[in-house]
Amino acid sequence: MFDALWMLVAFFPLLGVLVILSVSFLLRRDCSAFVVALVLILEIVSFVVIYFLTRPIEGNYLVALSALPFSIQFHFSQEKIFFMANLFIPMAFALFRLKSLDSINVRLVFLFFLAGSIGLLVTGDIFNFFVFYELMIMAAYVLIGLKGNYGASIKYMLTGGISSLFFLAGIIVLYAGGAGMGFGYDPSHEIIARPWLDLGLLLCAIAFAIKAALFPASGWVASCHGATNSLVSSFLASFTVFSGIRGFYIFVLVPAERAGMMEFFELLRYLSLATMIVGALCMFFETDLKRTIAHNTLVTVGLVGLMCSFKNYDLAFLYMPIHALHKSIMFYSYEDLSQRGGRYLVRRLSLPIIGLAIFSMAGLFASPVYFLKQAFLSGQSVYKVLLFGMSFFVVAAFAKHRLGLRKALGKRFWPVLAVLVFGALYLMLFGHSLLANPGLSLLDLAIDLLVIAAAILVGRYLWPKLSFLHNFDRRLLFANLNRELFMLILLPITMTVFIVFKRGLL
Amino acid sequence: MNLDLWLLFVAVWGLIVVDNLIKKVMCLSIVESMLILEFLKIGFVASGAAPILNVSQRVVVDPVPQALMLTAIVIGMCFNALACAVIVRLYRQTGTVLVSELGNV
Amino acid sequence: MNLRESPIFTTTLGKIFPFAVVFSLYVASYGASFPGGGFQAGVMLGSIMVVVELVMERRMYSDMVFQKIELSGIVVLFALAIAGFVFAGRPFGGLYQLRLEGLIWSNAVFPILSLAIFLEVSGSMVLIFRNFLFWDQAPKLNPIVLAKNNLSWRRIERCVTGIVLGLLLLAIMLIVYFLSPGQVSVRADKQAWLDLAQHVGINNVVTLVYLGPRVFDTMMEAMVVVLTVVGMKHLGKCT
Repeated sequence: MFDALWMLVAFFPLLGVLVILSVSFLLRRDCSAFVVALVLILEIVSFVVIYFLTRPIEGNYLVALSALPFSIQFHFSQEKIFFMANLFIPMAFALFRLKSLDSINVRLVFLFFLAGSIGLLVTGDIFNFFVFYELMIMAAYVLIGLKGNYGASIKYMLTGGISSLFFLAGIIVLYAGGAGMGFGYDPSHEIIARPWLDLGLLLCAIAFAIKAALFPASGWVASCHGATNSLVSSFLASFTVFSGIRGFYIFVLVPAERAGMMEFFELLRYLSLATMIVGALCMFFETDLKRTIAHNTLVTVGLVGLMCSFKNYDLAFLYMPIHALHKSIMFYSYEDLSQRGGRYLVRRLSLPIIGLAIFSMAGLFASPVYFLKQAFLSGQSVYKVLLFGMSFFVVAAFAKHRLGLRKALGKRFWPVLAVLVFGALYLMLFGHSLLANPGLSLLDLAIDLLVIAAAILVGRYLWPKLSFLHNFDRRLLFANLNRELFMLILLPITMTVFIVFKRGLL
Repeated sequence: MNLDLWLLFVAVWGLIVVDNLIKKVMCLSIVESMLILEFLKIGFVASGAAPILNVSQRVVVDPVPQALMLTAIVIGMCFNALACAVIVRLYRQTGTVLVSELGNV
Repeated sequence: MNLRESPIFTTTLGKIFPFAVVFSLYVASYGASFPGGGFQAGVMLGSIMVVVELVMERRMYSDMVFQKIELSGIVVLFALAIAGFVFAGRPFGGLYQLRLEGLIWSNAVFPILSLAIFLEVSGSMVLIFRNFLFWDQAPKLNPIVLAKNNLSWRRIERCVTGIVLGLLLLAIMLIVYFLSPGQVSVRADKQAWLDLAQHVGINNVVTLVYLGPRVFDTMMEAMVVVLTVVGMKHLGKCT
């Protein structure tokens, strides 16, 4: 039962594509809206069923797709539950906003995107991972151009193309060293000659650092995630970016830990720190609200990378669904806003959700992220100060935007549903993270209050005076595509130099 | 020096320095071709035959890279087609394919 | 210039066209035994169709025909996958045991899969190229502007870029130099693949890998091609 479901779950969207195409050619009818909704519901139900079926499974569980030897295998282990949740949340929210996919071709592309994402989740084969990633990201290129923003689309294409080529090079080098296609998933496959392993892991690390938008290659995130509608943005900001971190974990950190190469952990730590700081600064000096929300992804990527580099995988992976939740809520709420005279007008019901989401984003007291941070920070006071700084910038970045209440209530049920879904999921994640670390301290509470007060003051009064720094990322750091590609090429150079000197390869 | 490294040099140089978007996409496809060449070289055996059974020679080259690269070639072709399509739309929208004239996108 | 009025093009095309079509069918059907396969044959047929359309400067068939060809390929692929799933519990499962007599049909499933890929690729090749060939209205070209020759920030940036590139290449060359003693490991599984080919009853081992154990990759790759066609159609509508 589980084997069959795990094999089929990536097939459902493709079957949907087949049905839509067949019906439109044979019967000349457009059934795409119905089929997309059906596929989403089917996926959600099967995710829930899989969650209950997989409770007893421990360790790596491989499902071969064919009776022949050397066949592609799908892989399950308990940590995939977190990634499933990471995809489940934007899917659940997408059900409410299917109207924003407005034509049959867009719906088809969305189904392809879904197939790629789910395939990425279930696969246990390095080359199959590459193929699914291409399917997902090529659908994303089209979806980003949805509103006619082709510049963002081509930017994403060049970044994605470069990272995919690095990944392909990594696969080739690992194959040359004797790795099987189950590399990273299947421990028995990792008998590789050492120089090849070094080079292969380095190439994979570069590829996934670009895919996860670590610092010098982080310029594309805001413009690409901000370019499209909120349904696609929520998928891109939650699942697609974090599949980069996941790839880093599977294809770099796990084999590196087995081979005893701790330099890759150190490398990830420095890159994540840089990403976090730059992301927070970009967020603070950004004038556009949607880009502010998109920049927040960088802060989270940095924090998750930091947790991974300290081998706190459980905390890092639990952070991903929480991030998906508040990111989806922010993007969807953004679509409900109307702008008038520098003020964003909010519906009455949306206001508490937005407040809660910002609270959760900043990781302040009593949000799920707070407990994760506490569990992570026990005994590391340097990072504690840094993370308070992050919270400060996140709150200040939103405090500078002026919100007002909108009088007219819309006819749509979206806010009510959002409150219900958000509340349920929030409580669930809250419980999960409370289990991670129940410790509270009054000092932290006091500091949090101080941070909020300082952030609101700074955002309101100091920010307008710093106008020479507004949008510094768009004006200085990543001024045009050439500059961005230049920064992007800096990342492989830094990583190569770091690994070569640290490993003593010279 | 190796031929592949020269190809890589040309491609990386073009990716950063050349202003034209279509040429940037061409550079990416140069790198891809280089990688495919590399992968085929890994499976290569001196004086080996094509991996077909009824050939009398016993030494054959590795069939797996050839099959995997077929997939990579198709994906690369699709990438190029899609990139060109997007660049054409961009040109119709803005009237230029030069990055320096596009500014921040 | 009008290609249709040139006798060289029309005559050559008239001679080549039937040959190319027959040859592509040959390559598609003998892919299990000799070099060839569905994708290569599909590209051949697709490109000869594109050449014909370029020379004749009109659509030989409507888009619908090629879309149907493409769709039929995908339907065959999925039908095989689902049949295998229903009867043996795995996609394409149980089908590889169907051995028959003869060179082409020595194993029943490979020629059918090849044919499916052939249909899918040939249809979508034409559709992809048509996106670039037939414009409703030609876009106006801007006059080419030559780069100014004075020292600008752009030129300084280029110089810095050159230095960085030199560093990058130096790093990569050093790594390759120091890693080059590592021999490419001799793969133990090569012989296993040959044995598997004998067991399944197929001569071309590349086709065995491509359409045998890794058929799922091939299927996803076919989906990427379909995605490209759909995506380009959508982008075309946007303008």
